[in-house]
Amino acid sequence: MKKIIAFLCIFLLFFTATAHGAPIDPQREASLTLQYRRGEQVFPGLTVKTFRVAEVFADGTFALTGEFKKYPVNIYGITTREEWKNIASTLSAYATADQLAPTFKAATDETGGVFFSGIRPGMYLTQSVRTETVVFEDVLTVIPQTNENEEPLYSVTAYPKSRSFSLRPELLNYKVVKQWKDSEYPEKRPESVQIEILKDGVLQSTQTLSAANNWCYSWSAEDDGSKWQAVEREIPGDYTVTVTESSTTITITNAYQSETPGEESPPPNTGDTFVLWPYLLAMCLSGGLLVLLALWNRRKEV
Amino acid sequence: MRKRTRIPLILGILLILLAVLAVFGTQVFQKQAAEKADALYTQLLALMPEVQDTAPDGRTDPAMPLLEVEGTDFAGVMELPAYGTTLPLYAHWNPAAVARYPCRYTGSLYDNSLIIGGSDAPGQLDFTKTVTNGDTVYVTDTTGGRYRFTVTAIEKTKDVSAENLSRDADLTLFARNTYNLDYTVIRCSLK
Repeated sequence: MKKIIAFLCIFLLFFTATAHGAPIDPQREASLTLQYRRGEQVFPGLTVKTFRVAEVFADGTFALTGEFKKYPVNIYGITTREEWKNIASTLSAYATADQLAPTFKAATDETGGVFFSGIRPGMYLTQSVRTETVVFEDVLTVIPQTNENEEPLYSVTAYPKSRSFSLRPELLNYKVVKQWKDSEYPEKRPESVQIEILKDGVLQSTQTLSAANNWCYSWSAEDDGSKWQAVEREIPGDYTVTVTESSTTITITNAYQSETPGEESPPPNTGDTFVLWPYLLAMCLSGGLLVLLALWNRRKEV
Repeated sequence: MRKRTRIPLILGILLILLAVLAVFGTQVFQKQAAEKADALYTQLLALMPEVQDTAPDGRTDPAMPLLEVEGTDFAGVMELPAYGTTLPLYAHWNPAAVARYPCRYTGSLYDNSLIIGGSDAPGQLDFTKTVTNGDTVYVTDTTGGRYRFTVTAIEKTKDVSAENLSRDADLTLFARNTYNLDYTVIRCSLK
């Protein structure tokens, strides 16, 4: 646990530090070690797939590279672990759906470690691995990282986060839900989107999400330890995509990226100034007076 | 019955009937709006991932993701357990929608700037009449992240300018009082 926390701290530290640290040599030889451990338990024999998803530049910035360039996934201005986790799960889902060849593939040794040497600096995605009882989550690792003196470190060790699970012999209800981050540009939203649903990397179905189904599709499946994923196809222009997985819910969020940031509009008026009850009172009083007038006239006539 | 008797009598009865109808219609509308808001709350919870307590994490993008339900965008749900209040949170500010569900006026949960406006009609922000300091308010975004707030100040005011609403609070709720032009402004701090 301490190692995981230490890894996360280094991970976050890197993203906040590289922009201000020493220049990075993008051509320098580097290495990556991944340690699959949970407490004292080590996990030998796990097949680990790692993809180089982004290249790094001398100023510490990144850009998606290779096959990953075609995915509209935003990796800029990211500051939180949750956001990086979502980027990892998004890229992992697309790598699985498109059956991309990993940059490296190897099995963990008797210490639960796997070592990749002679690699180039950049951002590496290592896909989730599961045993019968433990899941190691997708992890993004950046090379180089920085030490306390803000010097780049080109030999990096990462500890993928793990969680235990147990199969439930029952049908589970899964759902894929579309969310939007485009509140200032509702007219840009498409009428529908196409979603591919995969089970252990195998396409199960393609679904159309739209307002007609509240942008949601659900299905039931036995909890047999399979990994369900979903990806969006033909993502509308000017939108980025994020895929997040939480228990049995897969959320696909499209965020609109405006090329020209709009001017900040003044806050709207807070409310109307219409109060109904004085009008109702006036109507009742007027009505009552008219009735009284009518009765008085009638009395005079009699 | 002569004209000068009949016409005022009919007009008077009509006016009284119209007023009664307006009162009755308003009550029916409020009841339907409360039922609809309750149904939307349930629908939103069904679409959201499992709800988990969370707190602002310092992200730089404060935009809140939206769920579109029945053609309407929602930014999450809100709850006040002490008053049994559970409501959907409409994503945009629209004075015409305020009677149906609370609306996000401006701001975001992620940078402690959220301002929510609503009506104090039954089934809406009706707790504004009885809320007290220390009450708990939960606002849950569409990703299932639940933020807990505590009421720290309650103000009756006519000043619902953006400046007044956006000061001294991590979350601000406001609702116009039905019988006058005063507003109740409730300021909350993140717990």
